[in-house]
Amino acid sequence: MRNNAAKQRLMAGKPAIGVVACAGSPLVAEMLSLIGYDFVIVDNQHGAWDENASMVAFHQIVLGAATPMARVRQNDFYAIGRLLDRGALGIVVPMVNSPQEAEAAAFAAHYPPCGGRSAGAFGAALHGAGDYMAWVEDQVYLAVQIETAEGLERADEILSVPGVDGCWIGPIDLAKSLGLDLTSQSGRQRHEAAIMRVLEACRRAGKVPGIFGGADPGYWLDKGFLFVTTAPELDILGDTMRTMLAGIRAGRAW
Amino acid sequence: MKTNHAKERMLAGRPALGAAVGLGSPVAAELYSQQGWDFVLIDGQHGNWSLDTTTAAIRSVLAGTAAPMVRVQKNDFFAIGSLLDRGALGVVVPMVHTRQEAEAAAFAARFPPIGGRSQGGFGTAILGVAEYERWANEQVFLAIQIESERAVEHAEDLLSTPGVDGCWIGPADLAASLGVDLGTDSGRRRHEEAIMHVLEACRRTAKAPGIAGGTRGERWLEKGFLFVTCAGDIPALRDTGTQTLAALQRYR
Repeated sequence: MRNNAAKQRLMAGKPAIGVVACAGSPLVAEMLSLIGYDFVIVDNQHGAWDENASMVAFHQIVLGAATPMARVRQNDFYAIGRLLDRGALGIVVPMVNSPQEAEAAAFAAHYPPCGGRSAGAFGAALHGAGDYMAWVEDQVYLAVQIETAEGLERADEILSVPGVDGCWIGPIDLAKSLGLDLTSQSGRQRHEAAIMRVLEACRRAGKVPGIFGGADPGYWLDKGFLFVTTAPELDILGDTMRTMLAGIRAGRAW
Repeated sequence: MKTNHAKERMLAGRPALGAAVGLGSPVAAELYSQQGWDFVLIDGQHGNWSLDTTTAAIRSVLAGTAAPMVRVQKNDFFAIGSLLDRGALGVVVPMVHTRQEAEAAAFAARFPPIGGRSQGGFGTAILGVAEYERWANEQVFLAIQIESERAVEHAEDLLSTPGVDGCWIGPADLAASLGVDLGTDSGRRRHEEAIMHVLEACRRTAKAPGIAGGTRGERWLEKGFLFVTCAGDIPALRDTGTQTLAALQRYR
C-alpha cells in the first residue's frame, strides 16, 4: 500500500516540493518521480494531457517516490472524480474564488459522508489498498488555487472549508487580476503583500500554504510556504537546452 | 531496484505462474500484477497492443509484484530491443523453428559480449539499476516458442542456444503443425508426447520448460513445467461472461 507521502510531510509541517508536468508524456512524469520530487502535478488545465495519458502518468509516477497529483481542467464534479478514479492522490483546482466553489471542490474529491464523490475507481488498484474508498479519504490531498482579487478577498472563508487541505497560489494570474505591474518595484511589493496575506489566512485556518514557485521556489519556501512547485518541466527543459546550445555556439564563428 | 522474481523462481526450480493480457488495457495488466502472479505476459503477437500501451502496461505491471514480460510480434532484432528498452524483463519469441532463429533471438535480447542488443534504453531508468546493461543480461528472461513439428524434433538443439533461458510451448499451433486431431484419443496422445519430448529436452539442457497453459495450467504444472501461463484477460472475460449469463438464463 502506497500512502500519500507528500501529504504526510505537509501535515507534519514539512515542505513538499513538486513540479508541474505539462508535456503530456508519462515517461517524463515518471522520470520526475524517480529523481526525487515529492509530488508531480499532471496539469490538465494548461498541459498537453488527455485523460488516458493522465492515467498512465499517475501509474508511472507511483513507481518513484512522488505522489501523483493532477490539476483538474475546471472545478467540475465529474472531472475531479475521473482524475481520482484513475489513480491521482491529489487534486489542484484552478480559480477558486468563493467558499461555495471551495465546497464544490471538496464535495467532488471526497466520498460520503464528507462529500459526494461517486464510487467506481477502476484505475486505483495500483495503490494496493484493500478498501480503497476508506483508505483514500485520508490520503487524498485537495488544494484550491487562490489567484484572483476575489479569491484573495475571501481567502479566510475559502480556506476554512472542510475537506480543503490547502491552497496553491497562482502568482501570475493573481498579479493580472490585481492589475499589478511586476516590472515596477511597487507592483512587486503589492504582489508579495497579497501572497503573504494568503499565507496568513492559511495559518489562521490551519491549512497548508502552497504556491507555484516558478523560477524561485526557494524564496517562497523560506517565507514559510509548504506546498511549492518548481517551474514546469517544459520550461526547465527549454531553459537548460537554450543555455547549453548558447554555450556550444559561443565563440564559434561559422 | 527491481529484480526478476519470476526468473529467480525458475532458476531455483520453482514454477512461475503467469497471466497473459491481450485486450490492450494497462489496467487489466496491473490487476494481475496486484493479485500476485509471478509474471504478466503482454501479448504483442496476437494482442491488441501498440508500443505506447505496451510501455504503459509494463509500468503498470511494475507497480505490482509481477515481472513484466512481452511476447514480441515476430523474431526481429529491433522489435525485441524496443520492448526491452521499454522495461520488459522477459521476452517470448514466437515460432522459433531452427537453431539460427534461436540464436537470432538471443543475439537481440542480450548485450555484447553475449549478443548484439543495441544500447539506448530510455525506458529502463524505472528499474533503478546503475549498470543496466550488465544487469539486464542476467535479469532478462528469454523464452522461445516451440510450436512446430520441426522445432520439437530439434528441441534440444534450439534450447541449448546460449542466451535462451527456456521455452514457452504453443500447444494449439503445435497441434496444427503436427496435424493431430485433439478430438481423438490418438491425437491427444501424440500431442502430449510431443510436449513431453520438449520437457525432456529442457531438462537435458537445464532450461526452463514453459507452456501456454490456457485453462489447463495446473495439468502442466503437475508434469513439471515451470514457465506457465494459467490465466488471461480475454479467457477470463469470455468464461465469466458466458457462465454468468448462462446462470441467469431463467430470467430472460
